[in-house]
Amino acid sequence: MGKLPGTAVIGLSACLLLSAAAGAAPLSGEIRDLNGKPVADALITLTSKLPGPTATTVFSNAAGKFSFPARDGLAADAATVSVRALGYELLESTTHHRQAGPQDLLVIVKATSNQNATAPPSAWLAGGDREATSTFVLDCIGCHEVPAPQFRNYANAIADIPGSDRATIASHGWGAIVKYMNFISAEEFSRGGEEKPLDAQNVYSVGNGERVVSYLTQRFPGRMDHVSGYSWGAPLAVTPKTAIYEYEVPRPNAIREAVLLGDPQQLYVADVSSNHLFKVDPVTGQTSTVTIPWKGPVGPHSLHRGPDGSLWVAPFVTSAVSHLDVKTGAWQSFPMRTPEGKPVGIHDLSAGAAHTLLTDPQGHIWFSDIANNSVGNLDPANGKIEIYRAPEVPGRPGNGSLYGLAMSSDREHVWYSQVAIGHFGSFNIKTRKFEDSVVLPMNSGPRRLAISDDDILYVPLYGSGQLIAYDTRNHKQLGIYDLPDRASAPYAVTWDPVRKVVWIPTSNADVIYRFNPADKSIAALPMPRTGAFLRMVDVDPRSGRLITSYSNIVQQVHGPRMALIIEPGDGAYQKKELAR
Amino acid sequence: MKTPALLSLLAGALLPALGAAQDAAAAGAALAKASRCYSCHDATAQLIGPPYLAIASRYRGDRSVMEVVLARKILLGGGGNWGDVPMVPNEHVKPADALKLARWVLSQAPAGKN
Repeated sequence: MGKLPGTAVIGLSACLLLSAAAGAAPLSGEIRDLNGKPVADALITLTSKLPGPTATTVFSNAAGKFSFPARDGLAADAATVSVRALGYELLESTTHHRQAGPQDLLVIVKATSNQNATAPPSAWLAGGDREATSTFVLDCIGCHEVPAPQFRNYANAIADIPGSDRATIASHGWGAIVKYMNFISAEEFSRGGEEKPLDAQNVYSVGNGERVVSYLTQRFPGRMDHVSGYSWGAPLAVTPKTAIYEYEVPRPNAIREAVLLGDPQQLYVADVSSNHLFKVDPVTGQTSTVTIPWKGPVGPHSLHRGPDGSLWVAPFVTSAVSHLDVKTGAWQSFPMRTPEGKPVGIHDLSAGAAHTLLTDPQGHIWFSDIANNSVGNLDPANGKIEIYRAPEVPGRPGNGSLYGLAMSSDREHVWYSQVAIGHFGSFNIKTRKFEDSVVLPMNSGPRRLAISDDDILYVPLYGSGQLIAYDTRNHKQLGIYDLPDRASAPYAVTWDPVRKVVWIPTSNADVIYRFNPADKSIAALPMPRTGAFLRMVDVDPRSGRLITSYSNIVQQVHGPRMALIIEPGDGAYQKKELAR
Repeated sequence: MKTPALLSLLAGALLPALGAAQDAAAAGAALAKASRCYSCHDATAQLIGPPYLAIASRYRGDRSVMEVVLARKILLGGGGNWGDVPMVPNEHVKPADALKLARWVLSQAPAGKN
């Protein structure tokens, strides 16, 4: 069995031969600590080579009991058991047979004060100067989690350098790593562009370099091999039927978003480092590639379900928006150039409350244009494009990186965020004028937006780890809510039109939060492994399952790169079907 | 006639060797590029890490051992040898490639001094 990335940092894992159980009885078990006490809220993962997901994870209840879905057939094969339980390390997994009963799995763990192997990297950013940490998160966490295990190892390497002037040594060491990261990211983001040598001097002099080095030197002056006191910070959004299915996709890749489309449903996973998407069969786990027939580099980035079940793909490289009829496999591409011939840097296409592509009444698809700090629209009937540059925000730099986009239910406004300058606002599609303007702290980092059926706009604040609810009909902010982990780096929000909740995937805390607007409560859905850099979550309209991916994007980072189907296990969408 | 024949023989023997050396140098440079060594190192200039020339010069009398040691250093990183900046581990480099890289780096000592 190949070693899965991330497995080594989950905790100790034990290999166990699960002998075949009679029939298709679900594999169940319990988790205890060395004192015999049940361990609640542990993530138990089985990794196998059976057809289907690479790994399946369930959660233990208050009595330490857990049960895997029967249809996985995991009992028929060798499987690796791993556990993620904050404050515990896995000692042993074994099977035992109840008298005249099915085979059970017994997992024994040991309590430990060191959460280095189980806590997300955000645990290292707790406390301290809140403003400085917000700025650091916004400056630094775009490609992988920070401080990732490699980062912590580097801190230890700095600590091992002999010498008495520790401040200078730390400053030199962190200065080197910032230069290195800037070089690597410049190379990563130049992928698909013209072949030209990197300008090392230019790469080494990015504006935020000194700020980042100063933060790192003060924040991490010594060894980083012990962290404690981390909790998920909220009740878990899980039930005995919650299951997380993870699918490994072929490497190398830089996967981004994933959606479930077609009949039978297939996972489509964007690979921003190529011109193709991975297509994963969720039942067999078999993976193939679907290539976008565009003459130049594309870098599939944002995926949007069309209202007809088709797929719209926004590119990372300034090139073309592409449309796939998943039934016929037919592609159509729309070159993206401004009327003046300038390249368009699309980030998002317009989506509504169902997280499905939504056009204006004229059939135009609206988009955010990060390259030109603009909103624009594409007429798919004739390929014509219009661009409207966002007005300057007083007191803020000119290029705000216009980023997220969502469309109101009356299809008369698009709402946009500007991640680089702490701002969001609206654009009136009828009048072609910018209207609302909401200024936030500079380092708050509003990213990808969602809008509810009743036109409440949700804005995740990546830097400050908060969520804003904004009433777009009455133009007033309803609330700003601290997430349980302020260094979690919430990348996006997705409105769930059946559950009436907001899902908030995070990039630095291995967790998806669930915000319930009815009672303002927040719950946490943790991921099974560290390095779970999440970006977008889609809610499958048929099943209510959450579709997402771990999208680490620098080749040197050995974080997991997997597509996920998450069964929340609350029966919400089944109840909806029954009510029809 | 013996002399030209000998020269011809020698040339015949040396030219493939020179060609092989050039091929090895080009392959090493390509491997270094693919492994992203150039983000920190240059052939002759000090960037984040020391230039290849300096490393090769320092160890030119100790190549056979240092090939093995340097290959480990490429994989594991570490510091204390070239100032106070540690080298990052390179987990993405295969051990066999690390050895090729180490040989290539150490082959860059000034001519005639190996």
